[in-house]
Amino acid sequence: MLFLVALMVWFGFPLLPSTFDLGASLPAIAIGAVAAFLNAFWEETAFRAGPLSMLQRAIGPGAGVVVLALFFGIGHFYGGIPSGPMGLVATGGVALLLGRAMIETRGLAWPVALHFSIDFVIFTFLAIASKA
Amino acid sequence: MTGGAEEAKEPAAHTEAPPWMDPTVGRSQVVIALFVTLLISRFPEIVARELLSLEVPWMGWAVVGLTIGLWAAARAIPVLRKLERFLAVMVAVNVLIAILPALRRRPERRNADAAKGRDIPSVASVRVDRGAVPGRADGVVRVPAPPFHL
Repeated sequence: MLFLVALMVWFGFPLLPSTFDLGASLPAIAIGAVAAFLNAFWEETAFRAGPLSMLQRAIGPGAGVVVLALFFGIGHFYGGIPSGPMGLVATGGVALLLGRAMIETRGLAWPVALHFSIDFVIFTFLAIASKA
Repeated sequence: MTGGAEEAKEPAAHTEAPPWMDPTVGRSQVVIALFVTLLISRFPEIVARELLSLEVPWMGWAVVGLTIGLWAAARAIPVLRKLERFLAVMVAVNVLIAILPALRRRPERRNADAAKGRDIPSVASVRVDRGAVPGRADGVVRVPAPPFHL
């Protein structure tokens, strides 16, 4: 929750136009929600569930989560939001949390839900800014 | 008088695996997995672009080739054998990672983005610049929008 608030303050609010009409922004918010769900589901399936299911057999679940978090963080160095070294650290840290959620719940629902909540903030503010 | 017994126990504590590591897995196996994962990640691209200042648009496909090579090697080399299935999955993952930017660069997609004006990646690139260049908050300095990952 703290991470989401920090994300909004650091990333989201500077993107908002000076005048903001919530009613007119509803389509952008809906687009943000759909895009966030698709992205969260795709990344959790392709970058976590698939590789982690195989890697944990080789090196154990804990080390598997750490190694894949590094892969995920590095993958966001270019093009991630945030990107660069900051993006690497931030998304790597989030990936540790999501990976642990996947191992502990032995399922996709919690990691996708957590990932969605983060992406929803990012996508919604981007969608609102792109319409402004 | 019990100090001797405690001292005898102390070295054992140092050899215990950290809580996140499976004690039945050898540390060397974890190091090999870490090294292999770095090789098949975007780490080589980061080194090439940031440290060597090289433009490497082909790196995505090179990493796919490397992943396939490592997967083939894992079938033959005992040290890598445990990673064989992981590498098979990573071949598919890296193919997807390499394909997505190529799809974005297709002419019809570029035209669609241009027609929309301020598309989402370009908005994001302005935000990235504002964060990266203190004092240049006007968004004038822009980098090309890279492939989009969140």
